[in-house]
Amino acid sequence: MNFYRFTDSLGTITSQSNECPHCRTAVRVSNGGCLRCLLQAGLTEDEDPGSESLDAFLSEME
Amino acid sequence: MSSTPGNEATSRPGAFVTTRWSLVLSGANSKSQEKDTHAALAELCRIYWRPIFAFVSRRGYSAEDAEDLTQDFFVMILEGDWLQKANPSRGRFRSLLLKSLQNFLSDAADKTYTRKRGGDVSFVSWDAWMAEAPSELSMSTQTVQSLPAERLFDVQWAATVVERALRRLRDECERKGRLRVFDALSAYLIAERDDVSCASLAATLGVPQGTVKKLLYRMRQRYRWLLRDEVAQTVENPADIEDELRHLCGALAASSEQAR
Repeated sequence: MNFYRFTDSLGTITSQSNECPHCRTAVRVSNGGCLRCLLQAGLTEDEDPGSESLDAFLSEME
Repeated sequence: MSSTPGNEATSRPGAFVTTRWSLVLSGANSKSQEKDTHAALAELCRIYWRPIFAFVSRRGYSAEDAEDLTQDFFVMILEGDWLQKANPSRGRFRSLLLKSLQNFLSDAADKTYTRKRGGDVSFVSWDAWMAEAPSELSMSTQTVQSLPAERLFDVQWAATVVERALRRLRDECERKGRLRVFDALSAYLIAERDDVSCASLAATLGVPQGTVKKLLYRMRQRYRWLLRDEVAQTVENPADIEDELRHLCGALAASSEQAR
């Protein structure tokens, strides 16, 4: 397998494993977060945030 | 939520009504919806090209041949009668795409593959795709080398979903002139409460600690909604979102087992 172009286009291949202390997988995304934990977060469904929304809060911030 | 697939301005959770994939499926046999169906399918292909390319590369093709095969695969899907032949009754976009890709590569292996670089069939330029959404996925050599093509496909798929949700969250903060908030807090979207120093973040952002706590709460909530919306675009029914997320989490768990 040719890793050169593959690496360029699909992400970074590192020599270290950088294992997540919570789930022990070693795949990270752009913000340095663990891919599996970030996915797992989606399994919690929120109630309608209504006026509590991020958008509204950011607008109100000084 | 509006019925526009992937509408980024909407924010109400739990109401994923019309998604890109459900739009594609509903219009699969309808002449009147042909244009919308094609546009939705093309958008899904544009978003999920990386898992396809990763799968083809993992099957041992050179980078150039993998690019051409990926292009040809998308041409087959978009210009041919893929949806009708694939009998999408039905299945999720991810699983249907993977099965079709496996069949496509089996057929390609039976032929002498003729490169089409510079030919008259081209879906979109690679440079444009890469520039539009650069991947910042990071994996160890050991992980990559241990994964079979199908598993690598799922890992790349999961990364695409998560990175798109993060990018949308970043864009929302930026539109409000609060990119600094995203930059400071995005690393804590999944952190345990004890791992977050609100005092330090408050100092960084120049806001009270209470504001940091509220921001983190809302950012996490919004991220979860965006993530579920991204998944919703690839399944026919909102009820499938959980299963799809569980499948992708399972694929990542299995990938870490295989890497050991």
